[in-house]
Amino acid sequence: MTLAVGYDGGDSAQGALAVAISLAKDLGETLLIVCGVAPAGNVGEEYTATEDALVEAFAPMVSEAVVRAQDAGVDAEAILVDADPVGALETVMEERKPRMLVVGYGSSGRIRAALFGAVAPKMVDRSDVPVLVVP
Amino acid sequence: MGLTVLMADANTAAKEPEVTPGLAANSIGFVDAVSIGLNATSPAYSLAACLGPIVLLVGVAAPGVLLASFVPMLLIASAFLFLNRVDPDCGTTFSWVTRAMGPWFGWMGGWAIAMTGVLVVGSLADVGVRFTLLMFGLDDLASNDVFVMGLAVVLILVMTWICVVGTELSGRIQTVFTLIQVVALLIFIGVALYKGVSGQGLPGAVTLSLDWLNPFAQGTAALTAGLLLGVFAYWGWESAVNLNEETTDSSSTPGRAAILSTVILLVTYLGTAIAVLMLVGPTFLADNADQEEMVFALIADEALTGFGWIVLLAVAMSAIASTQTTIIPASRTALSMARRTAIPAYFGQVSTKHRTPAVSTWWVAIIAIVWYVGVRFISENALFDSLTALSLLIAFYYALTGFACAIYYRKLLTKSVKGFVLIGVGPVFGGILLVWLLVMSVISMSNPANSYGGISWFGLGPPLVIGIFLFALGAIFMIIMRVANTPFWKERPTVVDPALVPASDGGTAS
Repeated sequence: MTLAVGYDGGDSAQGALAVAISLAKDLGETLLIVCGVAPAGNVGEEYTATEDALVEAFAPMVSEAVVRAQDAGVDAEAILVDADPVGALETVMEERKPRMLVVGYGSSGRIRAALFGAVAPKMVDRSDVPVLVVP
Repeated sequence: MGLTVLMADANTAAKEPEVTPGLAANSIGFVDAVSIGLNATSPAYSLAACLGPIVLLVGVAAPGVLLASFVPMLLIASAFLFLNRVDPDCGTTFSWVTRAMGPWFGWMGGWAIAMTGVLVVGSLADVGVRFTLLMFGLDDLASNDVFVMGLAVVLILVMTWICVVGTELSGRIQTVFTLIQVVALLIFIGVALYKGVSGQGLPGAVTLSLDWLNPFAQGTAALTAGLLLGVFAYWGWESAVNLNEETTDSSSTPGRAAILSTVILLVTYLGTAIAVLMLVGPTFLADNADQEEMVFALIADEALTGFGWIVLLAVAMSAIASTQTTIIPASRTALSMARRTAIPAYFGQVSTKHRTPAVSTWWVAIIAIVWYVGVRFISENALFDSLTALSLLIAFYYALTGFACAIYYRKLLTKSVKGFVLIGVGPVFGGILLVWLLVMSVISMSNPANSYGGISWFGLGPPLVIGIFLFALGAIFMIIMRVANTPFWKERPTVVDPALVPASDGGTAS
């Protein structure tokens, strides 16, 4: 079994990663570091070029996260998914069957969350497994 | 959703990420598929922006001109379809033309596509603001240029911010918006036709004649200008044929959806043009020519009296929603050019927080605002001049795409009749039509007497001056990048890989 943590390099994700690493260490679980790399916006034009740019921007961040987990003695793996953050976690949930998801609550506040959607409430709504929301 | 396993441990972290091909993105149904092409074309806005000027230019031949403009559009859409098939959603004109015809043509194509996106934003915001004000009965404010300009600039900034933070109207909401637009236009057409037929039209109204469908009926220099605006009216329609396997039932849905959206588009365009002629006639438009896009609002009130707001709402929604479908592709083309080192890498920066090309998106807004405010100040027929200049750029990059399609596929063209017609002859003929249109318009516009208000800049029609200015600006920028000698200039033309093309089109794929 394994734990999955949603990670995009932001402040909130840093908190979630720290909690996920210590939890995985205590439980003796492996850790999946999940990052959605699909460009926002469903218009198809120049989609791939935009996604390539995002993969290049995210790759060092998630590599650094993997190193942090391994330094803490946790066996970690990073997964980039061609989806938005919620879709990325859903894909990993289906294909890797993690024991638990760890996500940051986000620092954007209620109004922005209501307007633009927030990952944590959506995952609580959609997940088959327990979701740990890190404030 | 595609799953990409990046790295198993830190030792492989530095390696280039491996990208396994993803499954189809969000699957869409038939109604959504129909609405995508319509949404990208923005029928209500296009009619509000173009119909007045077209009728003014060609009179009762307006329906015929709109019909004729669709022919090159249809042929070029075929090029988009086949290029997209071998290079699925990798890019548009910039990527394709570079691959088929080399960096010089590719650069100018990319410049044209990005500039059209940038320059239309001001017009969209202007129309969106004016029609919203008119809808609420604030007619005085709607004709106050400074007030409208201020609000339009705010609107551009807000819409850009929305694009930067990456939120987007869901496909479902866009579908609803599109349906509202079409229904509003159909109501307008129905009522206006009824009033026209029953003799309730204005004194200048004309009686329906088959001649209206003949674009050459008026046979003047105005024809090419009218056709050029017609191309602008259909701009974006190619996305209706670009759906491919994304739809839920890929064997028949895209084809049927593309056909239905085309029929709807032609019915609303021709229907509205005919209805306007039967209700108010060309003289009314000529008398109110100084109102530019507001003419459509006057006609809507004339047709639906107390319910004119339905059409105003449709136009406002269409214009405001279109800012997104215009800003996003323009910023992504800039990003794509930056990644291939065709323009400085600065423009290729992305925001990992929002997953958007943030830098190029803000630049789209900055240039759009400078352009919009500048043209409003120096031009008396700002909207018309901008749209005509834009149409020159659109015709240029559409023609380039048509030629690129045949060139890229050249080794496969003689392998099947279908391929020869749809991939070779069709797109090339469409390209030639557009080049002819471009040349005729340039000749016509070089005589200011043929311009919208007979105004002359440097002895030329204003739209031509704007067009030349934009091309010259692009050329200067291109030469600077060429002198910088970035890797982009070492890219060489290639041909399509036969393994990506189905056997029925001359390829070797099963």
